[in-house]
Amino acid sequence: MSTLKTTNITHASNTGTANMVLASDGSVTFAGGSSTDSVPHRNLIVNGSMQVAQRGTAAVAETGYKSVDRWQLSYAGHDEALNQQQVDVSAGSSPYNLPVGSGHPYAHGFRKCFQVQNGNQTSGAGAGDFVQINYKPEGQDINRSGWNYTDPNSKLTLSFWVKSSVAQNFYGFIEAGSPTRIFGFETGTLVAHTWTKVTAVIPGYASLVIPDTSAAAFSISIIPFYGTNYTHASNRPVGTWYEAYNYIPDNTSTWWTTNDATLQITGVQLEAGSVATDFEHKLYGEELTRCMRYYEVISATGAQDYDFMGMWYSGSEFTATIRWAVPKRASPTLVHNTGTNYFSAWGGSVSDQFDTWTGMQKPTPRAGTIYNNNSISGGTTGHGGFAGADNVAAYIHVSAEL
Amino acid sequence: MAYKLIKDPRTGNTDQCIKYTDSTNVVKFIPYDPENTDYAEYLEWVAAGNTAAAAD
Repeated sequence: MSTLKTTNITHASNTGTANMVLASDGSVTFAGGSSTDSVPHRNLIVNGSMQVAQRGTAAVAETGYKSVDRWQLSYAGHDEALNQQQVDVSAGSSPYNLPVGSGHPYAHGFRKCFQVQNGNQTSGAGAGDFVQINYKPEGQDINRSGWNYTDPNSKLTLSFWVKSSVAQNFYGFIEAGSPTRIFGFETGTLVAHTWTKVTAVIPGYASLVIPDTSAAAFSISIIPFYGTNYTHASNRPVGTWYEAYNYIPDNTSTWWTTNDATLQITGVQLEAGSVATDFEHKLYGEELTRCMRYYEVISATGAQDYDFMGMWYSGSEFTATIRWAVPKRASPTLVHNTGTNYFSAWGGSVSDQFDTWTGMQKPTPRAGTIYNNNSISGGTTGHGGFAGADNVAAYIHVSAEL
Repeated sequence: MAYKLIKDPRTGNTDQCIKYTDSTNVVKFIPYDPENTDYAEYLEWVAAGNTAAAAD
């Protein structure tokens, strides 16, 4: 068998540095970056394909983490509330989803996206109005990504698909702190109802500080609209780190002043290196597990939906230790709604129904103990029982979002 | 919307979590964990001069 012996391989049109350098020890260095399309776990974004929506898929007219896992919507200054929602990436037909081809995320395996839908902003574009889509990776994950974030020659690449119902340019930025550092990027002028893939290459910056903990490394924000309170009057260019707020240019207000305008994103990937590789799709179950580090449904939407077990600590207290299915980023907040007989504990011939839980003990990233000690009367001390939601509207979940 | 301290039924101490009830009667039990963003928000609220309701 013949052997090809060489040290450099490069594209025929390349006149500069070799694309690939082979070392004597068998290692290979790629000029475009340390990542290639075959490197697993290169995407630092959880749920970048927007396929997981544990909180539900209906439109929600609220800020915060309310729809697609790990993606947060913030807005203020509105006349009518905006919606956030997981929606389909349609295979497409004119005019709203142009023919599927290499320029369409459907052709790359995307079936869901995060959508923000505008309300009717009757007072126009105010200086204090804003809406932004946010994502925050953990600091420890960025520290181990291979991006040497204080070296300007080391690069991190963000890529995503975006579609707007109105034609305009949109800005976004990376915000790291403290002290605050801003790196702006833009989508370029989008054609209405047409998916576009956007890539931003982010260099390291000498004074960046990224904690090597489970705290946020930085936030990635995509901006449907920022009023002039949050932009820079001299329209400083994107693609550069600035050491203050307000360092993206003034925004076009077309999207904000168009009733029911939509902006959709999917296929968000953040990776070390200067090249946007093909999106790293994951199995649904794997992505769900990664999302559950930040949010988990414990009990929801069921009559006698018994999701955990506990015991009557006394005749007037039922207590239950819940081990989270996935350890959390931090000790999570336990959230539940309240209503008449929303929850119950059941064992043998005893059924204690109650409206709310009284408190939580010993919360850790692994487990927590919830109890009711103000409306329990039926059980026997030391006896065990099932517990959970007992109404189709009731829920319990835990959140350790950033 | 209101924050309220909660007594641990075993010890009587208010060191396990803080109760937060919003305008729609959704209840949050917030742990005293500096990495928890709800707790960080609570600390900002306290730093602004507010005080949680005493435990029952």
